[in-house]
Amino acid sequence: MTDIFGLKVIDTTISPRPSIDSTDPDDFIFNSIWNTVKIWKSQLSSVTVTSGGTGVIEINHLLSFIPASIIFIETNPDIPKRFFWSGNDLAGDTWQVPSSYCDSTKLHIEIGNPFPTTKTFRVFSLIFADNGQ
Amino acid sequence: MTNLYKFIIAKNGYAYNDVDIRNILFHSDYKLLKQFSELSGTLTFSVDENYKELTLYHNLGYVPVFIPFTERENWDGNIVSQLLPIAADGPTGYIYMDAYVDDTKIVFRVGTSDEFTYYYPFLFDYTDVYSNYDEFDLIFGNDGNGRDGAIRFYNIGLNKNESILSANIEFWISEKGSSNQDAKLQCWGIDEDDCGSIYFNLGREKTTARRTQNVAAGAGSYFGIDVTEQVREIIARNGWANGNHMGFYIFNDGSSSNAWRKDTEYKTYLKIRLPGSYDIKFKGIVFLDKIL
Repeated sequence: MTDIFGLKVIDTTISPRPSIDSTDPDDFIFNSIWNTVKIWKSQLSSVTVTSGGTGVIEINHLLSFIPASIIFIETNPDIPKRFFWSGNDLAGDTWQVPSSYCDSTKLHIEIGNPFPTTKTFRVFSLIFADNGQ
Repeated sequence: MTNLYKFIIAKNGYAYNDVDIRNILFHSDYKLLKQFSELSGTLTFSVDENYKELTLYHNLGYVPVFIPFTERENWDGNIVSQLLPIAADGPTGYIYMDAYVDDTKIVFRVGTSDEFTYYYPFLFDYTDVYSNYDEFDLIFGNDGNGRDGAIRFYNIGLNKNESILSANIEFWISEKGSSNQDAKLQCWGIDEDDCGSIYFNLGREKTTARRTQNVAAGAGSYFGIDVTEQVREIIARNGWANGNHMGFYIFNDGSSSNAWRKDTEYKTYLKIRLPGSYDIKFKGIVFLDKIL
């Protein structure tokens, strides 16, 4: 026989305070009924790309499965804005077109440099210890 | 000496030391994203608008992790929620959206085709253009004789009595006469339910609406002829139906000698602007975790 235990942490900012038996996920800070998204690896990377070229960043995650991930990209190093990137590969005239994917060993990111001079792009990535496929 | 403990919660049926991290619900070795707030807002697009930004403030003082979504009406009328960035179909074109964060705000950016302006190119065919100068050139003015032209546009996507903001013939001037005087035109719609061939036919029924105009523009440029009332009059006809063809007469109106304008390159087009708007809703989930 397996003993089954659980842990629930109610969100105490909600008024009136929810019941511990609530079935609404929004009532809980943590509830072991449900899985959580665990940050397996977070990393700041950079790549220097010549004008018109494409730079590649590869981050090994050592998980044996394809994990979920999100990345934030500085599409213009001269302007410190971090764009959320989910792996879509967009086409557009003036829009930066990074692309990314995860396989069972690494997160692979490609960044094109549309600027007339060599640029160094910074990328912040979060790899989660949960399935991304 | 510091005692180190770990807090681990395994999935039902799995051991706390399972080697597959996916079977661990919580593990104190691994951080969780800590939610700070949910920000939301709406951008409204209407005619002549093809780029907008929505700024939502988190005011954390550092650059936080965030996840941006959009909720919008898809081309088929369904409400969809999507993670950004996206390139998606809009009602009549494409929409590009992305979002960025800095230490005070999230900015959602949208680039889109103008969903409320329709362009009808001049699809050159001998049945679609005619003038009393040369049957295949669109001309008006005076080259020693008064010159009158006609043009027809295909498949106008207006319903009977549909509301429009404006309609303009954007006339391309590929050549002009030697006179420095303005060329003078008068323009009617061809008052028919579904305009047929205009080849060798400058005498058909005209709309009551008539536009007169002096044209100073020279070769290599466009000028607009306001035909809003002419279009309204034609689509008010009992027999008008969406997808019908629409024709216009552009005649000389007393231009002085050698004051004329001509389009021999067939770049003239009809532009119709419609009323209306649509909303794009955005949501950003902001976490307390920093982007390095």
